[in-house]
Amino acid sequence: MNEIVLNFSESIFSFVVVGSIIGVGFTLVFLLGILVKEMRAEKLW
Amino acid sequence: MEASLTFISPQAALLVIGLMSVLILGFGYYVSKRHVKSANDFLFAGRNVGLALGTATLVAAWITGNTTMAAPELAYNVGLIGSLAISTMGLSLALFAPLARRIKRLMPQGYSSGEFIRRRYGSLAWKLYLILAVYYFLGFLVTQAMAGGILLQALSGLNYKIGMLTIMAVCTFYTLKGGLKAILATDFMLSLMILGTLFCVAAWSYWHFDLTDIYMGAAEIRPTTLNVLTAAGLMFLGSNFLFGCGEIFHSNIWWQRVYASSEETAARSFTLAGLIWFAVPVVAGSLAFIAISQQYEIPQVNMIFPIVVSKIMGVSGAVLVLVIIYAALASTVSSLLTGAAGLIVNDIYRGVINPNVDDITLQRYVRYAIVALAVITAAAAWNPYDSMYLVLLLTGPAVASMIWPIVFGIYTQETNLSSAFWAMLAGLVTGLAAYFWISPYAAAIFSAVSSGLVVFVLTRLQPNRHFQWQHLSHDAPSA
Repeated sequence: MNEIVLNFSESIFSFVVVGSIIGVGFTLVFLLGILVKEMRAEKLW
Repeated sequence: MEASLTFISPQAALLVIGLMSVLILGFGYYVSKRHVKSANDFLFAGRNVGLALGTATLVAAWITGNTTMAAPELAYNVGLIGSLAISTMGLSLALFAPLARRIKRLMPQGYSSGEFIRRRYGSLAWKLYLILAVYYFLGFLVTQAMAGGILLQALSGLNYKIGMLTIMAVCTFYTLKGGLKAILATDFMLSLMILGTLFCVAAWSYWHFDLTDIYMGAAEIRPTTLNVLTAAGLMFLGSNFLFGCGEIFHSNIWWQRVYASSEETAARSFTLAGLIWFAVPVVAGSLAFIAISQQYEIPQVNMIFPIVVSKIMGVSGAVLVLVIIYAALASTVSSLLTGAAGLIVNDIYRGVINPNVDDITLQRYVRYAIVALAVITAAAAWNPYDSMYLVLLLTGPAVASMIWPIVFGIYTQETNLSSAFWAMLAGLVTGLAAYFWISPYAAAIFSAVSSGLVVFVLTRLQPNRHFQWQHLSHDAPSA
């Protein structure tokens, strides 16, 4: 049985790869940001 | 292990592991001295954990050694859809968010996932649940300990037993010292380490290549890796998602974190962690396309991640891979140890033997259980066996069978009392049958569908009209 082919286009491929890398980088800044905010508000735990 | 596949010397690997272990133990010790003042802190991290620590601990605990190593392997063999299939396990984490909010509301003083099953469905379902949950915990712990030893040996040639024992010893020590509070704080540090290192590695790697060249190279050399509709990819997609849901919905690791969170952050931290986690396998998996387009020699397909990073970054890349793997394993093993010990002691000792036990005594028994689990795990993982992944996949029918009894139990007041037991049993039997007669990847799907049908049909035929949500309260008698 032949497999149906529906390829990721180059723009979707680039969006997924670059978007994920930027997303991971943004996450770092975001996590540190909420940590500082909660530490200042004494709401860490 | 083939000598040509080592990326760093055993001495350098020991130095990296030693430095990281000192950092983890030192930080854990600092947190326990400064912030662990009571048994409540040790067992439930004070029950008021904020968004930052709550989110980071979920991310760190859910990123296992397998997340970064299997995603590039699947991307290489199956395609981009393969690493997206692993990413769906992040959606499982996010899907637990509404359940987390409701659990926190229904059982603000709850202490384990087993307690919910016992109060909701009675002791027969609870006994079966305990067997399945402990089996899952042990299977997961042993595979993580083995993965630690195997990966360190593969990366550096370091003796398997030294790698495995180091990870187990470090995790056991800092878990014993500071309990859940130390784990949450250390998990924050480890999640930053994993995400930061992964970001640097991926950004540095892709900086050196043109994305169009990589896409065109993959399209020419391995066109199937860009196909959205590969049969294997779609099968992985459904199977991984359900397996992930089963693992998260039933396991005390995640319930423990719900009870530790404050009411306003419980759901938000699961949603955020799920979204953050989703990107990790895609980033790791994307490195496989560099290997394909640049036609790197891949003697061992499960080593694509270190191969690509070492090719591009040299020895420093190998060190960074080691940091990611070690941080991922340490956070997962410590969470498993405390989750399993909490379940066993709270459910069996507090639930059956001594319901009036005080928190100090409980804390002591949890420590004993952590040590016992670590020893059992190290003994079981002493000699690695080839079928490691098989052990983990075999837990699929068990964990997927618990999805619907938990969802129905949390949301539907009239859920049939005996349905959970029969659903878990039916899910287990059909899942195992699918595992052996159809495919290991079909097991979770069959298990979840059959167990869902059993809960639904039994509840329609014989709804439980006597159950009140107050029965789940900490002071109410069991069902």
